[in-house]
Amino acid sequence: MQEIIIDFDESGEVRMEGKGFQGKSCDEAMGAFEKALGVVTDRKNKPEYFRAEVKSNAHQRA
Amino acid sequence: MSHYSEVAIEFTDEGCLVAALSRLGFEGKVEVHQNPQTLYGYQGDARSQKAHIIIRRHHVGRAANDLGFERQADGSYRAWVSEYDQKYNKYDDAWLGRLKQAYGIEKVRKEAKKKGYRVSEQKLDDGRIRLVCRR
Repeated sequence: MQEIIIDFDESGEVRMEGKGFQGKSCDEAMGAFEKALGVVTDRKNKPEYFRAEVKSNAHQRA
Repeated sequence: MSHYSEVAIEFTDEGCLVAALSRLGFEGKVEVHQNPQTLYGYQGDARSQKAHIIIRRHHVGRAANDLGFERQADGSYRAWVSEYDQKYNKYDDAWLGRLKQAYGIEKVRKEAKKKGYRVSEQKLDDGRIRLVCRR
C-alpha cells in the first residue's frame, strides 16, 4: 500500500509525507503532487530511503 | 516513512481556483474570462488593474471594490485585493491563506484522481485539513 499524507494549514502551507514506497518511486509519486501545488520549500529523505538505495546498489555489484 | 516535503502553493489552475473560491462562499458568484477584464472600484470607477477571474464588488462586501485574479505570463495567478477590502472586509492575508488551503485541496484531489489514488479528507482540531491518498 502506497500512501501520501498531505496536511494543509489555514495559512496555506503544505506538508507532505510519503509512506510505503521503495527508494526513488517516492520522489516520483510525491513530485507529481508537489509540481501540481507549487514550489517545494523544503525536502528531506528519511533513513529508510538511503538504506533501500544502498541495499539495491550492493545487490547490483554482487 | 521515506520522504517529507513542504510546498508553497501557487495558483495556476483556473478550475481549482474557482472551486476554492466557491468553498469560501462565492459559489455561483465568480466570473471567468478568457481575456482580462477591467476591475471596478466601489463608486463604479474603472481601476487600472485587470483580471481573468473576478468577484464583483456587490458580492464582496460593503463599499467594496472588485476582487480579481490575473493570469501572469508564467501561468500563475496574482490576486488583486484593494487595501480597503483587506482592512475592512477581511480579505486579508488570513483569507488568502484559507483560499490557498482550499485551492490545495482541490488541486490534490484532481491530481490524485488522474494518478489512480483514493482520497480521504479529515479536518484536524487546529484547523488543518488532511488528505490521505492511497493506492
